[in-house]
Amino acid sequence: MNLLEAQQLSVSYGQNKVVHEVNFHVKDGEIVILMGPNGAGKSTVLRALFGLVPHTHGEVELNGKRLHPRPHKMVEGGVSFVPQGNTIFSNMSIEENLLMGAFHEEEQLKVEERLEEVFQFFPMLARKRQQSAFAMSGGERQILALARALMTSPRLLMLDEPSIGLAPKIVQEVFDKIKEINQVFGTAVVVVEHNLKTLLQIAHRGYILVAGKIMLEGPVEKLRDSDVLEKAFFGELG
Amino acid sequence: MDYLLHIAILSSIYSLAVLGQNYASGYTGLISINHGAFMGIGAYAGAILLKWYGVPFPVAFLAAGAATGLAAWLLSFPLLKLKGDSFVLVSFGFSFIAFNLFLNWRGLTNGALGLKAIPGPELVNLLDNTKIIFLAILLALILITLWGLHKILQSSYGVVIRATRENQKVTQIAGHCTDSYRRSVFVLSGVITGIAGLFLASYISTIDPTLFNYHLSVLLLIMAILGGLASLKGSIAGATLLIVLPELLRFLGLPNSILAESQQISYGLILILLMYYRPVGLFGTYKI
Amino acid sequence: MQIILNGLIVGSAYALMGIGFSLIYSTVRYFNLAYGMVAVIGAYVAYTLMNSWSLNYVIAMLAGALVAVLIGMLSSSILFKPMVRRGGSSLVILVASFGLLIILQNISALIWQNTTRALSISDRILPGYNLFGLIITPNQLMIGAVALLMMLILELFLKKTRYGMAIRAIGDNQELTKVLGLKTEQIILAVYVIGTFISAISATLIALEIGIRPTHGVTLVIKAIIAAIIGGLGSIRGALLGGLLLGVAENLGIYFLGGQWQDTVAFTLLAVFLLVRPEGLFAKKRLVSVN
Repeated sequence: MNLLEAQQLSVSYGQNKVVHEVNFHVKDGEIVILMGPNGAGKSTVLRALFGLVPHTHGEVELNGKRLHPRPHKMVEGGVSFVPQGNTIFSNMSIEENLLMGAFHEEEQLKVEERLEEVFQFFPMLARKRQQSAFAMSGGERQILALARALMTSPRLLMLDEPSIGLAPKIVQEVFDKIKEINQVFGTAVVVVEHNLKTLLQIAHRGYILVAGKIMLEGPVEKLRDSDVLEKAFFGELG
Repeated sequence: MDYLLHIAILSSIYSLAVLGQNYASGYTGLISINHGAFMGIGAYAGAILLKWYGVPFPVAFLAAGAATGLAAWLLSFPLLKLKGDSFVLVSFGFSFIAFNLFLNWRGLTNGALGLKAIPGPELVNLLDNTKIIFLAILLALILITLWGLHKILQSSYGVVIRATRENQKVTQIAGHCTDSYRRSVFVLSGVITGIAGLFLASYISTIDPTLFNYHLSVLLLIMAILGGLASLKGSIAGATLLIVLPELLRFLGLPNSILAESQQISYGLILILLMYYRPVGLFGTYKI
Repeated sequence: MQIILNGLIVGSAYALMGIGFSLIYSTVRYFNLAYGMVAVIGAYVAYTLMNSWSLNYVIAMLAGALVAVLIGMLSSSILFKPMVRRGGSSLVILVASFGLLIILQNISALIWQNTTRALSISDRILPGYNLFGLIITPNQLMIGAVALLMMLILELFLKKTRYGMAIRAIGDNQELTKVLGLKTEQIILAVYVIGTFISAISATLIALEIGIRPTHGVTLVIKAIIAAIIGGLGSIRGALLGGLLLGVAENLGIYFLGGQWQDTVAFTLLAVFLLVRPEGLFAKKRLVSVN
């Protein structure tokens, strides 16, 4: 059984169809990438899966159960989403940022336990736990967002272009952390990305999306070796 | 008949004022709540000269325009630096400040007592019925303003103004000094409205500061929005409708004690309904 | 010095007003000009309860605040929320809120007339207290004490409770709270309730000094906006400072220039801040502009 699955997913903005009958799935413990050139609809697919935008056609199944995605339903179902760009609460402390991640959990004791677990995994955040997140650099914010997403002990992490705006060295750190999360906690990850070189190192499987349609999917080796990838990015497809 | 003339004159005066307001707000996107103060400045400038210095009407006409133009020019310096909500707030603040000036600069404006017996244009005495000529002068003025504004808006200058309204940054990058364009629009809009103020003073011949407080500024904006922002004929429609409407309320036989409040409540309702259902107004093309 | 004390007292009420406004603004991102009028209606209700039913001041104030909250919630669900849902810009909503202000102001004028209603915490004229050579009247003491108490309660609620943290989060990054699965609409309603409640308390307090008139609806919301902008929209501490600053500046203005220039001083202060430091003293959020 797939952890998250979409069949014939389509999304339109008004009259404009941007995602065309996409079939997608991710299994427990997998790292899956969604790649493609600008405007291919990758973010849209991710957001539609999480319920941030409505889909006009198709079905989504979480843990084998059909559902109409809505953020709070997905969070309850064990999915955490890290949106593109503006991903933290700048005027709150690091600790508060993490606590907000676990907001829907009512039992305070569980939340506090999880907080310490997450801090252990991210020692550099633990050191500044009471500090405001305001002065954090781009890379630090991304790490904080990742940590925040882990607060719900999710089975699936959805990341929308985590490397955007970050220096290459920081990007490597972020992707290393993602790989660590996957290995230590067994969390599945779906990443929408541009930055392929590093990503291809950590992912298991991927989809190449061009103009809202899936051009190729499969294990990472297959994608790397095919020329579809190159063609997609040089605009020869779609 | 006399009553109809009265309504027509009031509608014309306010139409002229709203043409000024719409020129700034509709075509250039400067949603200002201060044109009531401009009417006041034009009214007081003209009235003072007419009453205390006995100048001929054309001189008062020029003075009203010049005084308001100057005020608009000065106000534009701080005001044009602001955008959106803050622009509206400070513009609103100016109408408060202007009201306070009218009220407290007693040496100039006679304060709360106001100015009485303000004479009108000498021309009106040609006929027995002074109202007809007064109306004729106003209508001629409105036609000239319509023609003038139309020509301006059709010109390349007008294109830049509208571009500024849509996207100021892009227009600036295209090489236009948007600030000076907006300033010139603001000043001209002030001049037009100021002259309307002068005619108001002449017509009702008695003015006091409470005529020109923020309520007037809001009314002018409502008239502009109702008729339609960025629509010249909309300005006239909006002004006429909102002059006629309270008169209709009077005919409904509402007791005088609640008349003023009922009028205001109807203005408020119109505003809400407009914003909710049709923010472009009747003939408008610009949606805020 | 007495002037400064008077300014601080009335400023603390302005601060409370500004805090409520700032709280609401940071969650809904539009200016609701009817805010002050709803608050004044709360004060009017308190006045009516005190005069007709001889309720004591504090109870009347709370009752009036509840009425204000009701009106506030109604206006939000009938007018503002639908407009937001229809995609109205913040400017359109601002203008619509002005329409609401006009309606409420004139209804108040019809019910309570345009005369200024005086409000005091007790029927008898009580002597003032002497504090380091300065006089502080019982009315003033009430204003200062209640304002301070409310601000303290609010601060504790926002900083120390889970719900308070959620409210701060929504003001910080509403998009993100949606992603986290929070029931944002519910929380926004709660903020509206809290903000309106505070504003009504504040208006009833200020009424001790300046009475109640329908036109106060406009003047109070303007003062609230000024306090909030000076302090920096979205910052509670900022609105506190902004309110105090405004109160003191106004009183100094009255003393040196005369009472008629009160509004001028307030607006000039606003203009200066918008031009020189638009993000306010404690910059948190830039004033969201429509253009």
